[in-house]
Formats: sequence, C-alpha cells, structure tokens
Amino acid sequence: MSDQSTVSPEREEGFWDGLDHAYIPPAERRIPASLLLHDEAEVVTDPITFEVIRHNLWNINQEHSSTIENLSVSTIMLESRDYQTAICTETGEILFFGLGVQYFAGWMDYVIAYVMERHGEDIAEGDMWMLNDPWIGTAHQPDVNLLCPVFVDGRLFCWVVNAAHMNDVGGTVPGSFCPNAQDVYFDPPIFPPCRIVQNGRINSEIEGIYRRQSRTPMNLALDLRATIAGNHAARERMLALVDKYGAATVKGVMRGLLDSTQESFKQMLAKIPDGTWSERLYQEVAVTGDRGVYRVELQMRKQGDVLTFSNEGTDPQVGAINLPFAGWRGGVMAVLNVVMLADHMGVVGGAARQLRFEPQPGTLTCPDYGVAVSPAGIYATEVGVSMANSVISKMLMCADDPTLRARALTPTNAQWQIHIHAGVNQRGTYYVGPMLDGMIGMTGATPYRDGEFATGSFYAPEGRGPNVESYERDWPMLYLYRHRDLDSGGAGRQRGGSGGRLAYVPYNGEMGLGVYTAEGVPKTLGVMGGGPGPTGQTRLQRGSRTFAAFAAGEMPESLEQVGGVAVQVFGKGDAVIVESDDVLEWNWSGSGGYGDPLTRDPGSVLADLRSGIISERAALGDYGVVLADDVLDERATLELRQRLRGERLARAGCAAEVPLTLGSELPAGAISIGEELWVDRDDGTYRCAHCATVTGTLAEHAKSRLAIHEGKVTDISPLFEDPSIYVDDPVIWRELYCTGCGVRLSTEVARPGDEPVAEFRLEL
Amino acid sequence: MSTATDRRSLVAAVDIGGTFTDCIVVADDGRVAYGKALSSPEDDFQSGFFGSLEAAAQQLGHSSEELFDSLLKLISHGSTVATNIVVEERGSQVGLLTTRGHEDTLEMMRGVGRITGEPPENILKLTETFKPQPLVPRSRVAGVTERVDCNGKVLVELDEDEMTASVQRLVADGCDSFAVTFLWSIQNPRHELRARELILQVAPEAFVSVSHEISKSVGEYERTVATVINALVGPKTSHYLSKLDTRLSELGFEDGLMLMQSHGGMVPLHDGRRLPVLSIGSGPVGGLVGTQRLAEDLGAADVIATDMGGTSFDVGLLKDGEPLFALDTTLGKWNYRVPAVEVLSIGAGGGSIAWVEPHSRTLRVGPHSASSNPGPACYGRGGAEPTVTDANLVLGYLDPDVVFGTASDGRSIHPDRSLAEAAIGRLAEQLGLSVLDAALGIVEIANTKMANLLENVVIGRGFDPRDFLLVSYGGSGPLHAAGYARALGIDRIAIPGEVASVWSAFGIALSDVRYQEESDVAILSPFDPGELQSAFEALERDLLDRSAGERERAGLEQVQLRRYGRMRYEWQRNELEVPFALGALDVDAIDAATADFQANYGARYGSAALLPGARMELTSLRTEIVIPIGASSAARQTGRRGDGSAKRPRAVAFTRGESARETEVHEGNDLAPGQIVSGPSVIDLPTTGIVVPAGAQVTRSEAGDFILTFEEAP
Repeated sequence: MSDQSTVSPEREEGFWDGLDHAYIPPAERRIPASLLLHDEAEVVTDPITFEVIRHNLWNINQEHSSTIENLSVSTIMLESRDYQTAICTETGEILFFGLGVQYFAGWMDYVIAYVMERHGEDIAEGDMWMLNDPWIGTAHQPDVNLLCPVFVDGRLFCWVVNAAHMNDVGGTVPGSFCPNAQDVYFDPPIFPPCRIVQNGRINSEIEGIYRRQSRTPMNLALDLRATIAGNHAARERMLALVDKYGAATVKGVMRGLLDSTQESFKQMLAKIPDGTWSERLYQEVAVTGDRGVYRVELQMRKQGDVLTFSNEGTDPQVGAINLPFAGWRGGVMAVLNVVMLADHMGVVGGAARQLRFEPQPGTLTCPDYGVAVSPAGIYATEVGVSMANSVISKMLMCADDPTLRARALTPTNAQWQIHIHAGVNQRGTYYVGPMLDGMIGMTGATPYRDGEFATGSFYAPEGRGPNVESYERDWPMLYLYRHRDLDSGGAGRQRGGSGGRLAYVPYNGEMGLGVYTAEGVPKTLGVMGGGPGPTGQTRLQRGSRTFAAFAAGEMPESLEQVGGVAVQVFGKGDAVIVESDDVLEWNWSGSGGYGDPLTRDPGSVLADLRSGIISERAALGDYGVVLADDVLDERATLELRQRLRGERLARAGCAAEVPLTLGSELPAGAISIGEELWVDRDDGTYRCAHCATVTGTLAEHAKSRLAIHEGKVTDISPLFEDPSIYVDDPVIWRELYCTGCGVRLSTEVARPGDEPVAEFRLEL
Repeated sequence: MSTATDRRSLVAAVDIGGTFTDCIVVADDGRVAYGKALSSPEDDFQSGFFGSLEAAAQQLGHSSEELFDSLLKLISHGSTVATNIVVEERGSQVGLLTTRGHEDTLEMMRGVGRITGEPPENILKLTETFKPQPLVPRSRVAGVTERVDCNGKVLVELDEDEMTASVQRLVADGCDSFAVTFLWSIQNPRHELRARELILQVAPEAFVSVSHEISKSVGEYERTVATVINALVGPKTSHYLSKLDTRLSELGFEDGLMLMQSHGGMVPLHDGRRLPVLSIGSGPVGGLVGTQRLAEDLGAADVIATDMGGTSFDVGLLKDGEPLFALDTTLGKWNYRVPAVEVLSIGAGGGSIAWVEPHSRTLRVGPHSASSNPGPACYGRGGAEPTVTDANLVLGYLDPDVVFGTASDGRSIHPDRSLAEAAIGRLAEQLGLSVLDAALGIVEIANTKMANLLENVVIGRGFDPRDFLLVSYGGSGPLHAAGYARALGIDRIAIPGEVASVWSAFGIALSDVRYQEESDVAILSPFDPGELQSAFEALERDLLDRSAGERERAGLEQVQLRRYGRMRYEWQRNELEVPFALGALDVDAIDAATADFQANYGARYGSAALLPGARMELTSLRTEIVIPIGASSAARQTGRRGDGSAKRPRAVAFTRGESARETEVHEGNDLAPGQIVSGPSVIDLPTTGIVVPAGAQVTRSEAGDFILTFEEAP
C-alpha cells in the first residue's frame, strides 16, 4: 500500500522520522523482506457472506472493547471511555474503529506503520508492542498504545490494537497532565515501541520499568492487563473467523469495506463545492507562570475528492500547550468519524485515504521533539477537535444536500475543563482524583436545531459523567451543588448547549489541587455570528463559612453565600493546597451558538427563559426580546432588534438604515452557506441571506465586505472575564455585521493586529 | 384452617402483557391448563385477568366460581403494566424532591441520555439521536435544604418548613405522586422518612416513593430514576391491583395474590404494591424461572435462555442453575439499579427489516423494525418492507396457514405469503439474487447478529458457550435457534413444549416468595469476620422482620437464609458474587469465600487478569430468604398425547443456490414422547415452528419438550 495521506512534498525523505519530528509514513512504505504479509484477498461478491463476515468483524472489535471495560480499573478509562480498540489491516489501515475516544484514529494506523518500518524483523506471533511516544503516535504520554499482530500461517494477516488513557504514568503532576512541564523531560517518560508481551508472556522487566514511573502502579498494572486481555480476545476471535471462512475471503471483505467507505466519502465530497474553510483560535499560558497568547490556525482545502489540512499561520511550539501531530490529525479524524462517517460504524480507514496533511513542523500543532506535550489531553487536543469541528461543519454547510447540511455542528468545549486533586482519602489511602463531571457534556447547535445540555462528549460518545455519591465515597470531598449553568450556551439563532457548574469542599482527608482550569481567552467559538461558549473558570474561596452555614441549617447555592475571601487562581498555575474551610467552584463550558441571536425565534427565547436556560438579562440584552407582563411583546421586540442592528452598524462606522423585517429570496442555482449566506455565481459575490447585501467576493472571501466592530471580551456577556487577568497580550472581541441589515454574520476572538479569519473561500 | 382451605391446591399464574393476558393453572399433581385473553387496560385489566383464568379453569373442567371459592391457593401475578406506563408516557403527575443544589441530576442523565437504549448503529449519529424529555419536568423538581454525608452523618438538618411549602406548591401544580431522593439516604434514611411524613401531612392520599426503600446502591442518578419510575407508575398500578384484590375477595379468594419481581421471586401484594418499579421486567424473568425448571429436568446447570419475539432478542444466563444478577436495568432511555435478574436485549426480532446498504451493496438486517404495527409485509397492514418473518414464511419455515395473534388491536392475523414474496422480491432484485436466496440471506444474517450477541454475553463473561444448553422460546426463537446455536458450537437446544405460548406465566407459577436485603459496602481485604458477621446480622434482622407474615403463612418454623457478597479486586469494576457461610463467620469461612472468588475469577478472565498483590474488596452484602410456595412440579403439556403422524409435506428451502424441496413437516404437539424427527424437516408449533436442518434431529421428551441435537460437532 502506498500511504496517500502524506504531506508537503518539499520535505526531504526521512524528515518525518518520529525522532526529531513527528512520524508520518513515507509514500512508499518500507517493510523488511523478512516480514511476510498475508495479503491475498478474494473479492467477495456474495452480499450475504459479505455481511455475515462484516458483522463478525465489527463484533470482534466490540468484544475487544467490552473485555477492556470489564477488566480495567481506573475511572478515567472506564467512565469517560478514554480508550479505543481497532482492527487494522496488515499494513495498518483502520478497518473497524470502536465507540471509544474518536481522536485515537489519528495515529493507530501510523504507529503500526512505524513498527513495521523500524522493527519489522522483530514482529512475531505472540507478541504485543507498547508505545506512548508522542512523536510516533499518541496525543500525550498517558494514552498508551498496545499493538498485537495477528499471524495466519506464519504471515502477518492483520493487527488488533488498542490505546488507553492510563491513570498516572509519571511526570511532575499527579494524573500526568503536567502544565508546569518546562520541556519533555518534565513530562511522563516516553516508551518507544517495546514488546511488553513476548511469546504470550508479560515481559516483567519492561513492566517493572513502566510501573515504577507511576504514582498508582497497581492501577497501571491492572489496566495493562485489561488491554492485553482485550487484544488477546480479539486475536483469538479473528483467527476463528479466518479459520471458518478462509483468510482470502475475510481479507476480501476487509478490502471491500474500506473501498466502499472510501467511495461513499468521495460521493459526499462530490456534493460540496471546492474551496477552503478556515478557523483560528488562541491558546493561552504556555506553562505555569506564563502570560502569553498563542495563535492556532487550521485550513482545510477541498479539491475534488481530496481534503488537505494545513496549520499554516500557527505559532511556534512553546511551553506545555503543544499538540503532537498525531493528536492534530486525530482531531480531524474524530470529527469525520462522527459527523460524516457515522453510517459506516467505524470503518474509517477508507476515508483516511482521501485526506492529506501538510503540517508546518515546530509549531503548536506539529511540535518537534523536546517540548512538553503531556497536558495535551485537557488543552491542546480539545483545541484540535474543536477547530476541526468548525472547518468540517463550515464545509458541510455549503453542501448541495440537506442531509449533509444538517450534520454541521457548532464546536463544543475547546478545553477540557477539569480539576485533578490528589492526597489522602477518608480511608487513609493515597488517591488521584480526576473530576470528570465535564463528561456530562453538551452538543453543538446545528443550523436547524439548538445544542443540547448534558448529552455527553461527542468524540467519546459512550463516556459517562460521574455520580456525586461515587466521588464522595472514594475521595475526600463534598459537593455543594452541580447543575446547568445559566446562560452558558453560546447565544445564537440556534443556541449552543448549556454547560454545567459545580462547587465542592474538601472533606475528611487531605487534598491538593494539581490541575484546574482557569482561562481568560474564549476558545469555544460560535459559528456564522453565534456567540462563544464561556471560558472555564475556577473560583477559590478561602476561609468560607460553609460548615457554619450547614450548622445553621443552610445549603449554600453560590459562592456568594459561603463568604470568605476570593483568591484569584491562574490556569496551569501551581498546585493549590486546599484547606478545610476552602470552597472550589468550576464550570464546564457550553457549546457555541449558530447565527445571530437577534434572529432567534422570540418564542424560543421565552421558552429558554422559562426553563431557566437563560436569564432575563440575556433575553433582553443578547436576544433583544421584550416582555410585557411576562408575555412576549412582538412589536417591541421587532423594533428593539431593528434598533440594536442599527446601533451595531453605527458602532462599526458604517451607519445605515436597517430594515425592520429580514429575509431575501434565494436565486435559483445559488449555493447557500448555512442559512446565513448565499453565493451569486453570476457576479461572483457572497450575499447576506437576510437582506441580499454583498458580504464578500469570490476573489477574496465570504467576509471581506462586512462591517467590523472591535470590542472587549467582557462585552460578550457577564460570564466572560477580562482576559488581562490571565494574559498580558491584548485580546479583543470582534463582531462582523452585514452592512445592509446589521445582522451579525461572524464573531471572532482575536489579537488586535491579526486580520479577520477568511472562514469561507469557495472555488467555483 | 377450614376444610375449604384444605381443598385449595391449585396454583395459578397470570401474566398481563401488552396485547394478551396469559394464564396457567397448575394442580398439585403437576397437571397444567392454560388460557389466554385480550389484555384490557380499559377496565383496569380486570376482564383480561379473569377471562384468562376462566379459560384455564374450563380446560380443567372447573367453573370459575369453584376456582376462586375453593380451589385456588395462590395466584401469582406478573405484568408489563408498569413498563408500558413508562414507555407510553402515561405516568402520574410526579413531584420530585431532592437535595438542594442537585435538582438537575435527573435531567443531566450522566450525559448518556442520548445514547442509552440506542442500537450500536446509532451511537455516532449525533444529529439524529436525542436525549428524551426528562421523566419529571424541571418545574416539578424541588430542591430541599438537607445534607447527609457518605457515612450517614447529618450535615444540614432537613428544613421542614421549606419542604412543606414545596409540597404544597407541587400539589397545587397537580402532583399526586411524589418521589424523594436525597443524597446518601442509603446511609441514613432519616430525612427521607421524615419527608414522607411531611408529604402525607399535606397530601394524605398521595403515593410517596422514597429512594432508600427502592434501591440501596451508591449513585444518586440511578436511584433517582428508580424512585421516579416508581412514583410515575405507582398510583395506576396500585389502583388496578387494589381492584383485582377486591374482586378476588368478593369471589372468595383472599390474601393469596403474589406479585412477581424483577429479582426472580414473588412478594405478597401489600409489599409489592408500594414498589411497582420492582415488577418491571418480571415477565422475561418469569421466562427464566421456567427455563430453570426445564433445565433441571434435563440435568443442565449452565443454560443460555433466548427469547426471540417480534422486536427483540432477549438473553438470560443460568450458571450453576442460578440466574445472573444485573448491575443495571435499562428501560427506554433510562438506567437504574435495583435487584434484578439479568436479561439482555438487542433489537433483532421477526420484525427486523432487511435492506441494502448502498455503499457496499450488501444485505443488512435491522436495527429498524416493522414491529407489530404495521408489522411484516405478510401481515398486509401496510408494511411494505421485507422482514425476518417474511423470510421465514417464504422459505416454508412457517406454516403458510399459521395464525398470529399479535396485532396491536389483539385481532389474529392470517399472513399472506404472496405479500412476503413480493417484498423480498424487491430486495432480491436490487442484489441480483433469487427470492429464496435473499430470504435465506436474511435468516443467515439475523442468525449471525444473534450469535454475535450471545458470543459477547457468554464469552464476555468468561464462559465457553459449548458448555451450555441453549433454550429457545418466543414467537420467532425456535425458527432460528439451530442457526444461531450452531455458530457458537452449541450442540443441544431445548424448546419448551405446549406451554411455551404462556412461558412467562409458566415460570411465574413456579416461583417462590423471595425476600432480600442488600447493602453497599466498601470493605477491603483482609476481611474482619466480626465486621462481616454484624453486617450480615443487621441485614438478616430486617429480612426476618419483613418476611414474618409470609413465613407464618407458609408454616415454616426454620427458615433457610442465604448470604452473598459481591467481591472484586480493589478498584476493579467486574464483581463476582460469592456465597458466605451461615452462622458465626470465622477466618476459615472467609478464606473459603475469597478462595471461591479467586478460583472463579481466574477461570473466567484468565491468568493475565490476576495480579498478585492486588487487594480484594467487598462492594455489597446480600441476604436472601426463600419461602417455597409456588407450584413444586408442573408439566409442560396438557394431557393431550399425539399419534406421531406427519403432516402433508411442503416446499422448504435450506441451502442457497438450491430450490425449495418437498420436506417432511410435523405438528409439534402431535409428536409422541420419545419420537425422533430428523432434519431436514420442520415442526410446526402454534405461531412459530422449529427448523431442523440436515444433520440435526429433534426428540420429543416425556415432559413434552423438543430437544434438538446435532449429529456431528458443527
């Protein structure tokens, strides 16, 4: 197989070596002659046998996953389903990919390619290869791969593989997300490929080294055994299938499935015009004590049936906020798997053939060796997924197919908001406690539907949020509250899904808070003029009267009610020793909104208000909805919205009369972009769907003729803090309006000097 | 006791399903009779209940007057009434009172509300699957000031004034049923108990469900769901049960109505009426109890029970003769945790729709189902898509004159083979196959999916399916059993005899009264005998208390208790239940239990899963008391004995690429005991049939069951 998902041609051969730079397989795969491949395939034309074998293959991968589920011990792996299983072909193409974390698809094929290229002579039956090298293939060190070759008649027939997030694999901070890591040597140790299982037996020497790095070696050992047992079960079942149907027939179905998924993916792309879609967001605080802001870019170009991804314009690698290339590619794969390939039940390798990656090395999303990457799982990976979500959704919004258009989604939280504490629990045992309340999650809005509160994390669809009682049983803590967070769904015509908010106190033990989220720069962006989801915040209140309140028969419902002194904490800051009278509050953010909130159906705004999803302030201020005696005042709402749109344009320096009512006729043959823009092919312009005013030109981009207002991040809503609390670089809130009607068609968070993001450049 | 009571020797079981109410009556010598009637929600299920009993009584030659007045000693009852209320969203107006600050627990659904209950095909379909409406709208959820910690210590006293005010508001809002779920009530129930008193002061007629009485498990979401479901269904189930009880008393039958529970035993009416959530799933569990008896007769200790109906394929396991317990129960899109026998389900049934996957141009079956409305194409009720049942009809597996009694309005259906053929023909054309080959393909794929599920269930628990007897029932099961069993290397299948059509009722009739007490614990090894002893004794005191009335009624002086502990390696999730010795526990008794655990664990998960040095942990303790009260023996056929003659042969297709051949056909209930039917052949049964492939044979047992074996190892 020649791997087509390769990179910019100008790099010399061997540049992407997995040592100094990320590993990307060469176009011509190098496999030693001594490694014999079982690659005969028989085309299976019988539609029934094909399906019987397909279902068996799918089931083998399911069984692999449930074996791990049954045997693993760490909550981070179990409850958040932070693991993944796959069946790959003899050369590593992903045939079946499970329902665990979807971004692991960014490297499972590449790690196999690497082991075959560099260790091909040593690949043997009965062995399993372990690796967690971010420059070969993982998003960060805790995500450990375990590869098991499956041999038939002495030849390599396929691979069964898994990757799993291990509770603690070392590094400077309990839990192994190390925001204070100055470089990779502060991070948890890296294991390049090594045979942890040889001849069916665990290599106790390697296991000894591995366990010695961990604060929770027993968890690690049990979880390792769970992954070994999973591979073992999958290999046995695979051999039984081959035995029953014959190797060439099974391989024929594998090839057929990959080919048909590839074909289906190409057909979807055929319904979308060529073009480039782009997104930008800003990471902050590269490492403990830093106060910088860093730009991350993603461009996706579609030409015919190929998608090419580039990170051009991304800032150089720095501190501990880097996303290894494998994780960056994983973000793209995660979104494609869910948004475009859901019908294929995990057969994703076929679509991967249509993808090209052209990363700039030495950047935040394709770092070279030496920088810290261990915290990627809570900062950089989410940035990768969120940006991929954005560009792929923007592309789908341009499709000439209602089914595809309806799959476009606004981004979900672009940071994994979390607290990880550690200490001594109520039973006197050392514990590491990653609070996974964020798994309760939310989904993005589509152009046709609001985002939903508490619908999990889309790229870990089977992940489960915790029960309060489970954490209180195992860790020395007591919750005060945990609920939907008011106004936390990005404002928009389709509102983003709400996030949540919770508070807890330490209780019956000792607790230090090692990892916590506190950010100033909004990253969960809205689409087509929608507002962003809020930042993740941590509020620490020292010397509270919580227990006095309890004794007085009160159950505090906010930090204001617990008293004490607010202590400012900073994201990626030093560990915080939590005292018995401290209270901690944090939130997981909602998803971004879609479209201008001033175009939202007023009835839906009222319903949101009555359901406690939004506040009265938001109803009036964000949505321009006027109530009279608790009843919607339609006329006043129309007039207020008109006035607000007019004021926007005045603010942006292009005052104009704006219409009271909105709407324009879509000309026949026009390409519409979501429900907000359309393209006039005759004059090569983009037009506002609300008033037909030109917003940009095909020669430039869709936003080139919009009015721009630059304001403060705190203008977005009271949920947003002044970023200058956290960072020194100035950050602004940019709104882009249609010059004809004042409808907001785009929003950005930006460094003041940075040009607006093009977002849409169609090539017609 | 009066002489009239002494005459009472019959045990009846009535199982109310969505369409039919099934009844079985068992005499003390084991003779059985059965009856069916349409379920009657319109009159609170009365006419269905009594109609089915009368039909069975007639079969035994008794009038219904005699039956109630002097013959019946016990009526066991299971139903899907509670299930249907939840699924059809017809529950009461419920007010939920919960710990302040945690009012959104029910709506958050731990983030899995979108995917729960969805087939795997749908899990990634983000924009096509949604979280359901909350079981209780947020406006009827009230936070209450109170707090208890994980050890049961009260941190914040219950604010009684606030509680009362909330109840008054909810009553004004129309609530007539209340659910109370406070954090850690399982460790200290005081606040929940007081809350109930306060509710009843405001609304004396209200139905009140408090969480610690429903579930003893850690995890407030699942406990809230169980409590809310109890509250949703409680008023209605309580109402129909009271009506039944009153009517039974009028007829001269008093104090003998028992309710089947999801844990596989029965409780008296007065206990069961308060906790209707525990009746959910009792029908399938009844089927497992029947299977248990059937397997005992055949000397099989390890059994896979499969029930394939119109829309689902349900699987339960018996290991060493006992059913496995479930960790969670899923109803619709909700998960909860109550003591329950495990029954797993996938959406594969006679109604599963076959279709062509457009990208690979291959045949798929399910997960979409034509269910019973419109139903398979052959029903002629507007369903145009080909289903598994259509394939069975086209292939000759189903008698062309078969009558289904499964329409949603209860009317029987005479399927039309030509409609089935046309539907499959349209599919076959797309695939370039003959109609028969397409039909064979549908069956083969359906069998593959079921075999794959069984593989996950059985192998996933560390068992080898080849060690198991497979029992098959349900409207579609026996048609497919040989197919899916063979794929797993299983060489013996039992299909229950004549009473299979009322199989759940049959099992319910055999069930005993069972009380159990369970409590979650977190005890690490080395275990202290004294600590365990006192924990078990506390449970046993409660148990003896609760069961006093029933024990007395059954005339039991000595009771047999059982003790169990759920054990795992510390942190690990996979728990195994092991028995503990009765009486005073000592170190030897504990060593025996832990050795039992280790041996089982290693056998199930292999040596790689064992880690020397890992500590063991007990996560829950359970005690159980069983009061034998159900029918002690029951035949699986009525008195009828067949003459063994074959029916007219018909064309049946078994192999792709070959045409259908005239094949031997038998009427199942005409087969004589000991008679052997060799494949290829078909045995017709009411609404279903047994497909006997070449190389297999079926023997009718003395008890009336059908035992299918393969001549050579598959």
